[in-house]
Amino acid sequence: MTKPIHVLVVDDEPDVEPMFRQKFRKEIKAKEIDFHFELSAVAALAYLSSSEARTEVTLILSDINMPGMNGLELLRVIKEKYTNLTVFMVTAYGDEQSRKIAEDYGASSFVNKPVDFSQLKQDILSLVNHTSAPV
Amino acid sequence: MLGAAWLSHLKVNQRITLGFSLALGLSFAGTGIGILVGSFYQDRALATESLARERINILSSLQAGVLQTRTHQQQLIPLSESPTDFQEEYSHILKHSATIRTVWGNLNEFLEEKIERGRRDETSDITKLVAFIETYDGVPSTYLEELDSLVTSLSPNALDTAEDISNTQQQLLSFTNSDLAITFDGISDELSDIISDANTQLEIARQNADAAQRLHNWVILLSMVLSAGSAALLAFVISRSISKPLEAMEKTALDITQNDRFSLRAEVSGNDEVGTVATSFNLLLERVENLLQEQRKRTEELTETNLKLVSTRNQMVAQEKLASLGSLTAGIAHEIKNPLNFVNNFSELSVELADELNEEFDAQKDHIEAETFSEITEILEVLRGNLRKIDHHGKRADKIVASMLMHSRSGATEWTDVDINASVSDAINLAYHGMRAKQSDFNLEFDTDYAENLATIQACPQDLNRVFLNIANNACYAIYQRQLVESKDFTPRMKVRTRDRGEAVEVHIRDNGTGMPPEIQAKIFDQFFTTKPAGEGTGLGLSLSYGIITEQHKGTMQVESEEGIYTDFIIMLPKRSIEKSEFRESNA
Repeated sequence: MTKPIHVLVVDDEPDVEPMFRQKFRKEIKAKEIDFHFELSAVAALAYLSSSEARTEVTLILSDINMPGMNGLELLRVIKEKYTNLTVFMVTAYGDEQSRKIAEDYGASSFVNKPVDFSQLKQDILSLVNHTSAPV
Repeated sequence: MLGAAWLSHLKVNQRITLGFSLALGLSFAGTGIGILVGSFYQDRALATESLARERINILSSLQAGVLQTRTHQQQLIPLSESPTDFQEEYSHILKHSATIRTVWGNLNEFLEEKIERGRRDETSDITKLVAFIETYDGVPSTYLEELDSLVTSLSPNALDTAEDISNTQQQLLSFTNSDLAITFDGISDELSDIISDANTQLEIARQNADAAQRLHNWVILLSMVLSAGSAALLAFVISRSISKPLEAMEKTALDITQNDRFSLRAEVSGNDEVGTVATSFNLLLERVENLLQEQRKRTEELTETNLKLVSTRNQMVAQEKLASLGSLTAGIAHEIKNPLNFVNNFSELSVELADELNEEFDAQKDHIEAETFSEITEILEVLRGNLRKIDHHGKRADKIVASMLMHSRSGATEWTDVDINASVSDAINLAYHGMRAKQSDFNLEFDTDYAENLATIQACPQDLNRVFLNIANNACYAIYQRQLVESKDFTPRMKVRTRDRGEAVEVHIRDNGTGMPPEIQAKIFDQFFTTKPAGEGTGLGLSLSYGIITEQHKGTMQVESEEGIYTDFIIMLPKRSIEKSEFRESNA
């Protein structure tokens, strides 16, 4: 049995955690996916700097619109510090400008809200095939 | 009137001068002529009178001389007895005879003078006198000579004796009764007649003088009356020639000011001062009329400009309202979208969980008391129903929010050459198949008429497709609604037509569905207005379409409809390319 994909979800909405946990209930149970939630970009960066996370985290799912440091800035910092991390950006504003910036900064995917969870599930699970082999 | 026409050519001051001159001239001329004529006739009458008087004097003294001579000659007879008395008496005769001779000579001179002057106007009188002179020429001298020779023949002593005296008396008596003496007597009788005639003539001459005086007076009076009359007539004509055009002008001025008829002109009666005033008045009127026209034109222009301004301002206000409404809508939609996502996601999850719970609970049926089981199952069923409702309405709200966001979507749209025929054709097919998928009993006939060789236009294909699809969807919906209530004879039909209108392309999408009454037609482009039942329409489709056509593509969109018969959407799209910047970029 492979090691679960560790996903860091960054969103200022606390209800995102129970929603994800319920949506991915089966995957969590099956230890395919493992989630960690942070409510701000700063907190996310702090978490990433911890030794535990550095080895565990393979995917970051970040909202763009957040108070304080926004998701795009977080993306830029992460891509500078941790080049091997995959980042999916999530936004309710499906605007071209944000999408383009996210692409420029190195985001792997751009997810529109409302999130299509079955699609997201597929996207996350497809990462396993690419990332599991070298690790 | 020729006089008045001629007068109208004169200036007013010339007319007045002429009037006064004419009146005064008539007066002076009349008086002068009166005096001259009167004097002429009076002089003639007076001359005649003095002549008559002179003649009467001459004739009277002649008559007197003749009578005296005769009387004294007859006195000689009784006085022959006394030579002294006789001589004295005879000396009287001699005195008278001298007078007679003188007068006779004068008379002859008078006649000769008269004949020489040729004054034959008193012919009868002169004829009488001439006849008298001819008849009696030489009679007085002969008589006097014979008397003288008779007296001389009497010897101084012839009276000495009685016989001598008687003889002398006899001689004297026979002389007295001689024919010559009787003829001499006739002179006196004849003269009486002539003198009487002369007196008559004198009377006539006097009457003539009086008549001349009267004529003189009459001519003066007549000329005065004539001059006064002509003065009055001229005053009337002149004042009329001045006041009449002035009155006409006054009337015209009143008519103009009271009835606003500035095109009227005063009549120009002549080239006098009044005519000049009328001409000036007309020039003034023309200027006023031109000014009024200019003012009217300017007012019209201003009104038009003002209307344009008001309309532009209203448009700007409407656009501003739309813009602010759009950004507000977008803001609200975004704010609602996030919590709504949670509602939808959690309700979806809850439905799944409830289903799982139901399955799990069913599996435990044998371990639970029957009554409790049925009670819990019942509650669980209600709970699942509620969750499905939450899910349903959440999705509905999400659809509205998505439409609202699309309405105020950012303008990162692609402008390319668009084939309108293809765009319309795609849209109606999509709408038709979409409707067929939902309602299996739906069907319709297409009646398409696409303009050949229609040039492509610069447009936003995604947005145009959305508009055509929206209209086609509505058409299918309306047709289906009618189909549900109509008899089998009803043939649902969608008629599509495109036309090249030179500067623009015209698109008609017409359906024979339920149609719309005017009060609904007026509202169909309003945001959130829908006739569909709750949940089926958002009320944003046509307002979004209207914005795309009129604002984004600078075209026009109209609707024609009759309730229960048809609805026709007419879209005009300009062919010219539109600068992308013209389209309002909404909030990012």
